[in-house]
Amino acid sequence: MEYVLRVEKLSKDFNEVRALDGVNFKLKKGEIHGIIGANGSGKSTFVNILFGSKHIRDTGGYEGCIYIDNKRVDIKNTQDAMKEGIGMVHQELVLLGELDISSNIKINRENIMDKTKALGDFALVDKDKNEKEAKELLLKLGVDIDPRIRVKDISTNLKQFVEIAREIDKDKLKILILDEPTSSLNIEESKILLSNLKELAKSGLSIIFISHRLEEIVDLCHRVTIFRDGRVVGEYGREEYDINKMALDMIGREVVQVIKERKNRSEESILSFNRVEVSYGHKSYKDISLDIKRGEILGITGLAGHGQEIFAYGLMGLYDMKGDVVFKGGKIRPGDIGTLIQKGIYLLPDERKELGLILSKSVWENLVFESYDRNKGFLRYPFLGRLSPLNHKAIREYSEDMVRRLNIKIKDIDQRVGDLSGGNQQKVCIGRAITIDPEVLFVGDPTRGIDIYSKEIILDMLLELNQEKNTTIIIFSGEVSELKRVCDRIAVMYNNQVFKIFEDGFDSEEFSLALSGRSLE
Amino acid sequence: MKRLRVEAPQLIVIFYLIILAVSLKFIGISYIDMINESLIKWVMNGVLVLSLIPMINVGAGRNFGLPIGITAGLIGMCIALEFRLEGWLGFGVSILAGSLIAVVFGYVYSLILNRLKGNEEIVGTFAGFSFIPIMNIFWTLAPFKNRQMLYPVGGQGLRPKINLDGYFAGILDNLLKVDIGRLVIPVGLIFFFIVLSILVYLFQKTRMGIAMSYIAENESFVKLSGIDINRYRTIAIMFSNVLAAIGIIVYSQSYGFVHLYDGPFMMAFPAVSAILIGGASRSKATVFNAMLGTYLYQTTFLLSVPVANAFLIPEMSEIIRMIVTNGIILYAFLYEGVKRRNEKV
Repeated sequence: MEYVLRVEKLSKDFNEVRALDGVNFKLKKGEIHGIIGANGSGKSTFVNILFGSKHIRDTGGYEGCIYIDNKRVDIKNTQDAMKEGIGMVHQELVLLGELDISSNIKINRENIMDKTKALGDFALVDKDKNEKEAKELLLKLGVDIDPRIRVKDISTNLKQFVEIAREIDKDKLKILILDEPTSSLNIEESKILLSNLKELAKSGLSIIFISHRLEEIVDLCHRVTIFRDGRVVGEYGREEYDINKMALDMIGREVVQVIKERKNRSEESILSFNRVEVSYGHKSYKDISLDIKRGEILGITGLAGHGQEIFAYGLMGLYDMKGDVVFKGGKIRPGDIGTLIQKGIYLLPDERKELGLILSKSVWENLVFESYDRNKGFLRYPFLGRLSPLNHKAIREYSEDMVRRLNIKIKDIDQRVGDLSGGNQQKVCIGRAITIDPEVLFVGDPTRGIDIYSKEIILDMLLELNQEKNTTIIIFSGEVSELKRVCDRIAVMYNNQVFKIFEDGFDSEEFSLALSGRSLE
Repeated sequence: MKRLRVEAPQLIVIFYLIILAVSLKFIGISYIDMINESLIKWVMNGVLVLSLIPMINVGAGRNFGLPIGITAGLIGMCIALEFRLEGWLGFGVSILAGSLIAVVFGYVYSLILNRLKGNEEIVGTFAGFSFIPIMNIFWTLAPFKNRQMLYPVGGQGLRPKINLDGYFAGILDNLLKVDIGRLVIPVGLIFFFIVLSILVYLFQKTRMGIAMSYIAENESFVKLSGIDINRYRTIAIMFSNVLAAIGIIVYSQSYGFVHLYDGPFMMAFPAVSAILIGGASRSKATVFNAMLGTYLYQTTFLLSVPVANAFLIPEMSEIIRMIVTNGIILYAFLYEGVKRRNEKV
């Protein structure tokens, strides 16, 4: 059998910590090879080495051999990797927001006008052809969108598709590495992407597919390699798949899924949006209404770009929201964040690293930032108001306690949040939400990029917060299966409107249809 | 206190300083005199450098628009002179009036900077430069009546350099001087500087100061935490301007003159250069950076004048001053640019 990629005894140290330890790996032509593992198991390090990431080089390079088409290669930087026909789509997307979709996809491979070819680098770009090809590429991936829209105006989910389209457009591409491509997609979109990936593999492309979603891996991949603590702990062929065994290999222990116990919900509404108007990305949507009940966990879901985030983002001023919003009987002004937080509305955004944390600051600073209005004890001289210094003793004690309670795995509370794994970062976010103790908490994609074990802990924390303090929680996320487990009600968004709110029957056909904007009849 | 990082700019300056100090031996200039002089120069310029800190830490960049705050201080002093206020009264009224005007100027300046986030440094440079000609018109037309401030001939318009003798020249320099042999330590002057430094330091430790330092790193995060970013930026910019106004008043009492018209023109670059030598970056500066940087920067030039005059042509020290001042700023831009690029891929 011919292997496109062969890796032998690959090892990598980060400051004397062994991140990869003698990894062997083989990839066949036209194969979709899954890699799974908990956070920090070495998956990302592995693919970063393959793609020549600068971080690897700066920390002393790697040990071991990499063969591509049976030829030994030395991947020193990203250019080398691309020359060898490796393409990668990162978890953190790399796109030019100010350019339109087609330019992003065709970047450096632009079609040029025939008549100006002689001008070399100064030739004119054939924009129409670029747009046509970009459109075709996206259709190949199952997305129908106007390639002239600027990338910064499209949702994260769609950006993911744009990035994949850019990679598969490269002629020489032999190996495509996808680092959790479905983490920002919901089930429907994931399905679309997966079926198109299968087509791509049939045409001869080899794909390395990293994911936390075991169901996906089982459905898609021909083979699966499992990483744990920097080693390969198992390899399964298609016929040997056993989700439970794989999960056990991955974590080293069993995962118990959390499920919400339904209680008698209050019918009193705590926050309602009455025919509001929301604008983002040069478009505005009118007549959007939603009523949130006190003490419930409400899920909001929908396909990419259909607006699962508009309520939270609109209220918190990230999108422009106009209209009548009522909180506990009183009118509130969307975008006036300071007042909203004082009244008890808080948002943990889905883009954790960009919006939810200060990465260069320590754990304790992130846990208590601006929670002082609710915890006067954190200020040394509260009567000085905003000019009061912090009471470090009280804050440190509180933070130590919080870290213990939430089981955040860190060296000490002075550790930089940026150095923590995704799961622990999310715990810190939730820790801050608990510190601020809001009445209504919006949470965006709480489990994105988090391994299956930590996922359950995060969900459990949210449930606990809801049960103990009766906090109303609104989770907007594409992870329908998780929402089904923890939510009292789920609102399905379609075309930036609430299409239908389900109180039960989450597994019904009607629910699945609603995601694509269809009803039973 | 975090570990002190010594990087290229500090190393170059310290190395240069050592060469100068050794050279002094050969041209027979006493070290004691130089130390006396350097302490005065340190505080004389130190407050202006200190004034950069609030703006850097709120993410509004190094304040190349320093002339705006300086002008406020100059107007403050002119007001005190107009009423012939001498001694501490004159000094106090200058600071009070200068600070009030700096608050107003700072507010207007912040309106501009808050609309042009990310480009504060270049906008500040031009705002500062274009402000000077406007003020030149003001200086010629302002209805001041004190003859000692006006042009001797014609009696209209303020003169470019107003002598402070008989008002408050040297008032801080001469406060509580302690003589140890030939070494003279201006305790009052240094005390004044340290009080201001402690104020700035304490402000950074307040709830507001901490939130401001977060703005420089991640504005969206701070906004989502319920803080009115523009309001905080405005406060920081006003604070910087008030310090700049006080800074020029301290400078002028040492200098002995109030230097109007093009006086503030080239004051931003040495101040920025000094804080960079002290180890500050685009978005983070400490009081320690300002104090260390000012001392190294000012002492270097103090020493280079006699050395250059003895070994080279007389104007050489001024030339070296320009090269170092602008070179350090260019280095800082380069260093940050390269670092930013490397963080990505």
